Amino acid sequence: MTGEALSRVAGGIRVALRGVHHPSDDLSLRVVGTASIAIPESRPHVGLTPDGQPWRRVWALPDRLVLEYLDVVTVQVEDDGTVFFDEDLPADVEEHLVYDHVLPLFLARRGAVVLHGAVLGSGGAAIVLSGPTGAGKSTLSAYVAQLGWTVGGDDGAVLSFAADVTVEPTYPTVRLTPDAVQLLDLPVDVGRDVAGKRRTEPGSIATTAWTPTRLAAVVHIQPTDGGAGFTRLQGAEAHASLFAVTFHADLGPGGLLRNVVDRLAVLAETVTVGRLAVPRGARGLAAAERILATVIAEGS
Amino acid sequence: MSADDQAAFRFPQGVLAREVQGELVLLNLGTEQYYGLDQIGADIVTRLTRGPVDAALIALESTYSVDGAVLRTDVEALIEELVAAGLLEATDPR
Repeated sequence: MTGEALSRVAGGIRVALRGVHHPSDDLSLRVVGTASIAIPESRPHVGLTPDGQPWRRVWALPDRLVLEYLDVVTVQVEDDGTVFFDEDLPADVEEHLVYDHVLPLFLARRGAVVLHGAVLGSGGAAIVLSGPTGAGKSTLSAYVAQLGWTVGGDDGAVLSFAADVTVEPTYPTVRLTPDAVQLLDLPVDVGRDVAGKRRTEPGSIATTAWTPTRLAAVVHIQPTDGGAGFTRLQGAEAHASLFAVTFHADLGPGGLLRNVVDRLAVLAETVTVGRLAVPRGARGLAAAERILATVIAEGS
Repeated sequence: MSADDQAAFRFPQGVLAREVQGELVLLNLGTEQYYGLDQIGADIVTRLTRGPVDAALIALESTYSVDGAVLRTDVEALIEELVAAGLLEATDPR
């Protein structure tokens, strides 16, 4: 693989996959190769699947993160942005891990508040669309793009807290399952295959021209066999829902988790937070889009 | 001596308590045990961390017009749950 590092990611970070040229500054997240990685003896943070099975172990050490994706690979991310894998992976799997897992954790470790969700814009305001893997974030994102919304990305939302809370995507792409491609009536060869999904190129569905935009709402989507509906959350319940979708920066020294809790409290108090039930299928997408349009208009 | 000096309970070191719209979230930074309390729960815990248990019960009984025995049972259950989760500890562990 050759070429320039991808520069259009949040936080001024440039990402360079293996074999890609990168500038030698400290703002690059760069994969430099394969090396033996020692598993630390300290207690890890264990990530669980929705059915309670461990899928990832994380060690936050003073100068690096060690990420063990169980039965897949171990990754070491040093604070200067150097990334090692403990074995060679197919290029698409490595790309998926770097953009969708390592990048948001790296940003969080630098003090950013990063939510797992898509970033959608309309009328000068933005929504973060969150939800568990498979809930339909990407499908709904691509659908609203067809209706004229601006899509920043479908995976990570980086928040900034000033007079307003603003948001930008971690990087500009949308990953769609084959079923979603069919549902949205997109060409079957849209984008390229990355870890089992079609990753659209920056600038196709997701814009490369996103600028930090005032955040109006964080919406947690839930597929349903019933009707579409929006339930507003407040107080501790809103905070808990945000905490659950934040890339935690406990992963690092120096009170980063405390900062996350405080920032999420600000978020719960200043933007709309709620759950959106999305009926399955094309009619559900249409109903969800109408609700999102109302939510973003009310928050604008 | 301030009321806090007589508090029955406190948040252990490493526990973060953050008020959100009148409610309360508690997070043990070491274990990541996370707990959300509604406004009544937040009121209970706030009073327990600012004064003696009996004073808290009297104030809560007055505020919520609730039966004293029921209130005591509910408060004790909440205390037990939070202490077990490492989110609250007695100031005098005797």
